[in-house]
Amino acid sequence: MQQSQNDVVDTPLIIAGREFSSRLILGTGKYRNSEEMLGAFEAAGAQMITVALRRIDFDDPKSRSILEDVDWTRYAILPNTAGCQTADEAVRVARLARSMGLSDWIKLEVIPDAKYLLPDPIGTLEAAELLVNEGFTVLPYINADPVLAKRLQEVGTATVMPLASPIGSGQGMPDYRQIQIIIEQATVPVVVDAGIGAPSDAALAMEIGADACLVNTAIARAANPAAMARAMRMGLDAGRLAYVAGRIPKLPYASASSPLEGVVR
Amino acid sequence: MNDVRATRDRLRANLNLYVLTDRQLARGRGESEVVEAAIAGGATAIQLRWKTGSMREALIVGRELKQICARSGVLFVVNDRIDLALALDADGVHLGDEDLPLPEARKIVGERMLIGYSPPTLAEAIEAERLGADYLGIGPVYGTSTKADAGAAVGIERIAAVSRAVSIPIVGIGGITAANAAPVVLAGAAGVAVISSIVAADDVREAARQLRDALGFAETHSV
Repeated sequence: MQQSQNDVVDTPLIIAGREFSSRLILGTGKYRNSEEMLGAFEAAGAQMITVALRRIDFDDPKSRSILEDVDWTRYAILPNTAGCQTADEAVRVARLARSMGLSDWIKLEVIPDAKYLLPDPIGTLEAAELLVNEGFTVLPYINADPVLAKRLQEVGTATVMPLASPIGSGQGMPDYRQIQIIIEQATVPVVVDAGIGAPSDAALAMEIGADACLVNTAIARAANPAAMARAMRMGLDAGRLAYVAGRIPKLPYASASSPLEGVVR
Repeated sequence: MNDVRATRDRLRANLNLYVLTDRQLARGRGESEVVEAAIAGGATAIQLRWKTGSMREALIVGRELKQICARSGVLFVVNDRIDLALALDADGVHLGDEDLPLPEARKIVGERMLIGYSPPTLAEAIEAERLGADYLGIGPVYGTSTKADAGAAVGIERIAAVSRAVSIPIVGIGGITAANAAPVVLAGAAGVAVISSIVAADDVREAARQLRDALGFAETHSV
């Protein structure tokens, strides 16, 4: 959207010194097949893709992983620690991802609970601090908790990634005021991650000033993932442009569209 | 006689939670009691480790275990001893690098049973697949107190390296508990093999259940 909109030049998204023109990050889970997944990556214009370690199996020609079809020269890979229930497990998996030569970027997920898949704030903070000290670029997935977000950026995480609603729930952002506070306090990019169900959710996230969105299930499980990826990109772009354009404040009363000043009587 | 081909088809699933017996760690409980509880908690494979004691007694214990496993559709494997495995008509035998080499072992058991192998190095893991091993035990993942000669921990890095290098299933072993099992399967193992974290537990069944939960969580929630 940088040059295409009239007189509005947006700044790129910068995470840990790395520039991205796309603000839509995609996942790799739940796609019905790799064809649909690749079509969605393309339609979303995504530049960063997050991948659970279990799905990474590059060197094995007999690999069952759907990821072998991805051209990783086109996308920045963001390994994640999904499946880890404790800080210790997440740290081990992050180290493994780095030792495999994947990336020293890690989307940190410490999720002890299977029903709501809500992240453990204490475990996440502990693991984040350890990994930052080991030189990792850490992108932590968190509940929309402004104090935690602040603590994380203080230990040196590259982003904070508050959830809109539980992973895969498609509930959108039932309450975005906490995320607004996180954005207000942020010194690092805020990526709204999880729960986005429709383009309007992505638009809202960007309108309130989020720097990026991560969307997986809403695209992967759509009847037409590529079309949904494109719609998601349009919603996100609209929201971002609205944010850059500067929305009007909400007023308690009406404000006439045709003001009475200067009216000829 | 076993049909080893059918067993191979579901081997990956059957290696998810692999419990090895250890009389010294069982706190006075018999092998059958421990194995019954472990299976009730979700163990998918059992290995009879008979390190001390007579072969006569091993045969008696082994027959009980074989029966318990068969009843639950759980894999029954014998550690080290091909003769005992054959006498018990076990589903498999598990060999280390000080036991009979794979080609000789295969010559003896033919296609009657699975052969598991614990290769000490990555190169030997690749070689073991070539020599016809059905699955591999890789470790010690985290370092272990159970096995005196197990050597230094190889980490989940070794699990990842072996799982990328071979296409037969592998299980991680050594120091694995419910709290650190997930990285092992996330790194590519079909499952984990455990001794003390289940056999020495206060509540064997509950310990097995917790491990299965941790493994299931890692499998189903990594998207």
